[in-house]
Amino acid sequence: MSSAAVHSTHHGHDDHHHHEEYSYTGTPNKKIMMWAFLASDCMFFGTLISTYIIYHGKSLAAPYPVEVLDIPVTTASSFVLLMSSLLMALTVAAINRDDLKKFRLWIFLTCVFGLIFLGFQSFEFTEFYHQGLRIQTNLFGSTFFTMTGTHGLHVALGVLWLASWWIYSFFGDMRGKAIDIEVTGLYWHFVDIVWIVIFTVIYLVEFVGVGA
Amino acid sequence: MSAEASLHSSKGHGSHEHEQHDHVPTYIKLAVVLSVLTGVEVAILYVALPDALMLTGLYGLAAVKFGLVVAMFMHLKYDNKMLTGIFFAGFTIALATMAAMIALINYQPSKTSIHVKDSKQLAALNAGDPTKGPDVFMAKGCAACHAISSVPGAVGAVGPKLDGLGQRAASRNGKPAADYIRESIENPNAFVVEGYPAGLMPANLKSTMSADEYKNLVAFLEKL
Amino acid sequence: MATHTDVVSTPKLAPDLAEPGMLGPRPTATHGVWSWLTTIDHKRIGIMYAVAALFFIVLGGIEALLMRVQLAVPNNNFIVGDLFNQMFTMHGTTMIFLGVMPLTSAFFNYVVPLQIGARDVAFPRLNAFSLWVFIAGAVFINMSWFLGGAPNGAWVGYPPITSVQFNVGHNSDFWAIGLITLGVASVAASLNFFTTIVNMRAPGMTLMRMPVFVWMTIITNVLILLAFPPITIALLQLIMDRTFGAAFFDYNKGGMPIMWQHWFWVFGHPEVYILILPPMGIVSEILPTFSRKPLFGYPLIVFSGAFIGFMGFAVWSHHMFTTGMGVVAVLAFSVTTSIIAVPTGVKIFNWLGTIWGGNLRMETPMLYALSFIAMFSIGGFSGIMHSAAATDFQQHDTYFIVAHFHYVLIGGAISGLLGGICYWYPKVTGRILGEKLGVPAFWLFFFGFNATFFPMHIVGLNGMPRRIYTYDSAMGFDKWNLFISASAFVLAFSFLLFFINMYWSYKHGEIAGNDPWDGRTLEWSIPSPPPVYNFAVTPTVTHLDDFWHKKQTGQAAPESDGQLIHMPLPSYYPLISGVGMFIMSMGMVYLRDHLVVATVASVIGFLVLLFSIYGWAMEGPGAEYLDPNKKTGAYN
Repeated sequence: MSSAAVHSTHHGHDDHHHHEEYSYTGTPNKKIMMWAFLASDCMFFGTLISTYIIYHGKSLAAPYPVEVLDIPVTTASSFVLLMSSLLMALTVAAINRDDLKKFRLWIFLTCVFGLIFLGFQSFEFTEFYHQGLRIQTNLFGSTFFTMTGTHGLHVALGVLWLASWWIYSFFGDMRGKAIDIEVTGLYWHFVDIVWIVIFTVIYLVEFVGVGA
Repeated sequence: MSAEASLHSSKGHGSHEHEQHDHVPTYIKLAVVLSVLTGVEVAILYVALPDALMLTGLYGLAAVKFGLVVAMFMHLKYDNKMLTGIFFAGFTIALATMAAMIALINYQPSKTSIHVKDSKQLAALNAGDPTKGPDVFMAKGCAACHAISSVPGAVGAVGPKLDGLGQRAASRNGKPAADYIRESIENPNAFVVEGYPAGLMPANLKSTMSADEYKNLVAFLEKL
Repeated sequence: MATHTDVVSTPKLAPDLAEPGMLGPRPTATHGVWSWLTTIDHKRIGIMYAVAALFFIVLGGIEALLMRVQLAVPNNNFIVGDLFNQMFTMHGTTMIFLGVMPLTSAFFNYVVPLQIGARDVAFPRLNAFSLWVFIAGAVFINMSWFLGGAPNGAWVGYPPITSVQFNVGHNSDFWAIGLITLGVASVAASLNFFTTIVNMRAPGMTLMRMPVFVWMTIITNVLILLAFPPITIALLQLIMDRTFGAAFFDYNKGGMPIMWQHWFWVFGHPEVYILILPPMGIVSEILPTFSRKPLFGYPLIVFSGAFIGFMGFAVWSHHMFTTGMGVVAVLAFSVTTSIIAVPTGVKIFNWLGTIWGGNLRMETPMLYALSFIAMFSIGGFSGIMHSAAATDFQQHDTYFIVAHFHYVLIGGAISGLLGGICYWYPKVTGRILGEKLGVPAFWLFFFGFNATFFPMHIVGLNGMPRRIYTYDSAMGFDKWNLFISASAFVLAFSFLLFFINMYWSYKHGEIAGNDPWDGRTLEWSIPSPPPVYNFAVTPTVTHLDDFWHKKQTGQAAPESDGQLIHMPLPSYYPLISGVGMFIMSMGMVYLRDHLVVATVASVIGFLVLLFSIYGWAMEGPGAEYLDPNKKTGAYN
């Protein structure tokens, strides 16, 4: 998933054979771009989350959130996603040590944890559907499915991205790819921190004053 | 130097092991901390605490988790500070926009406006308490000149008897009753009831009363 | 990827074409259509952006003229009802998203790498991706004309006007999905230019040595990065409402249409600065060059630009004063709106300070730049009038507003952009844009524009509402409207002259040479048109206006030592991604009535996109080593 930069190499700088990218700040282009993208994504999820908060308590028909949300199940899935962040960090550390075996193991497990999270999410969606919550039912349904669905899509794309690296590592050349893995990791961690916020705003806060 | 770690990763192969910090133990400790924090978050729900405290706790813990992941797993702490700047510029504007949006939409005009109140609210604020009116009527000496049957001791006959004043006032001059009554107190000669002499009633009676006393008196007279 | 550490110990002349795992061949055309379709050269991409943008400006202009014909006389029957709604919706959407924004993108593409001394942008293929996704979105939105009707809910698309209950066709679906597609293109381009400006500057070009145009570009791109996500989500919510019956803006289910207005303007107001900041940057380049003086107060111009960008996020509700937000909100947004006028004023005085005492050359770029200052000031003043909420209640949704924003967008943005075309035309084509036709075209533009839009202030204050397709003669708008319509054709004619001049000059214009204007910035230090690698030797920057400083101190440009220059290779995949996005968008429009077929189409589109992303990743940027003594290589 890389679109590496032009090597606008400096003349008089005799490191052609390193193919080192010239950069003004010393930080690779891809990393700067990913952080700029994540800054932009803050606004993206900020819009979704504030829409949820604004419409909270304004649904005109049942089921209401407190009736369908399941704290134990979601705690488990949140824990899985949180741990996938650890695995991702280990993946990046492994590729930085050029430890290809460990890299394959950790990135594979990151994918698996991502898939478990998605499994929890599809279980939750089906469960809510059976309890009568659809996207058309009420504002809770609309905001909930749109926000968690968008987040789930981010997770799914992340899994696809990580899985592509895992497969690539068996036939492709992983030398010089540490930066690409690191950037993939930044994306993955961001998806995790967005879930930290969503878990609090949708699930935990709902039960304040009610008890879980 | 913080930028070195990132430079290294772009070079890939090389003899740069000496630059490598071994973050793995830190990562594992951090994962334990994050798990504990998540446990605390859920546990908060099962403890009877004041709502405000619970909300502060939940949002506070979420912020701590968010910060730890960004600083350590995403290693902003070790990276070029420019990246922190880029991310938190976006993050701050997003947070401010969210707060402004929630405030704008969820706090409707009636709660936030200074001047415009709905008519009922306005009326309630201006209304006096008619039950306290008789005391004012006696205390300020009105009873010396005016009689009201429902008020013991109000038997004066210098001015008109005020029984049924509310109804009469409403039909005078096309003004609301309260306005006519206020006019008759503040400016007695504006309208003098037939058969009574002009210039006899003092024009400074309002200044002898507090604003509340005056409101209560008018409200009482209006009800007569 | 081409970055095998052991391969290139000695540079080789032949490009490395094959990569392990490549999904298909690399393009090999160096001339003709395919070379343009597969190019990743920022200069060629910039030219394509410009051509597309000018095409859409003509299209939007024709839509405007049709509306002016309808409004020329009272009770006219030329274009009425829904068709008129489609006209003004598409006029606004086209001019903003398909005209002015891509035209500013054309300048970012062509000029920014040259001004910062780079050989290309940070991600050349992503740059081509942005172009093709923009083209896909633009064609997609305009397909609606042939598929049941164009968008008709105004460029602001307020529900319930755009809700499915009241707008049953696919008009608004095309609009919403098209804008998301265009948003993807804009955000991708912004990430690219942000990274380019942060990281690809020539050595020595510190932030405060960057040309003002580069500064305004990076600020604009930050605005795009932060303003497009809210509109993307709002559009997604609208699509959810329309396609799946969600409750976001459905009052019957407790939804609040007002929330759309908020999210729209959270995007919409920064969008105004996205349109105006690049022309401000262009004007800041033209004025010093044609006054033969340094820019007056460079740091102030830069900081006020940044402050405008920041404040752009704090004024959105001034578009909604009449919606009953409450006194506190109205007051707050009145104040922030008044504050944002301050940095704008600072800039105008700095520009005047630049001209003051200068040795002025009144050639077309300068004429357009001066027109920018004057016309933008008028638009700015009527803007300040709107910041007073009480007066705004009178002016809201009248032609006064139409006059205001056309002064900002035509008198301001288009003036600046046309000036930019005149200024950089010699660099792009190697020939000077003729003055003989250029000067009359400018004056026709200037008078045509003022005659068209100034009277709109008057009819607006007299009570003529926006977006109506006719009016009664008893209302007293007749004479002004006839005058406005006639003037609109004068304005249109000035554009025709401008385009004829561009064509004529391309064939017969005076040869420009490297530096026709005695320029100040790095792009004038290289040949016109520049070679594919831009700089044979990467310049080292020591001053603001470095090239001018070097000319003053008699420093010659460094000679190439014959070292080969590493350039990336062209690619098919950005174009294929654009095709994939187009198919996916088409499928999404029809989800509502043909669920299965439409889903299949969307998935096919997504797979095409996915294929091109994998192909893109696997082929890598490639490498060709160019000899600076020859103009081009085998593939570049």
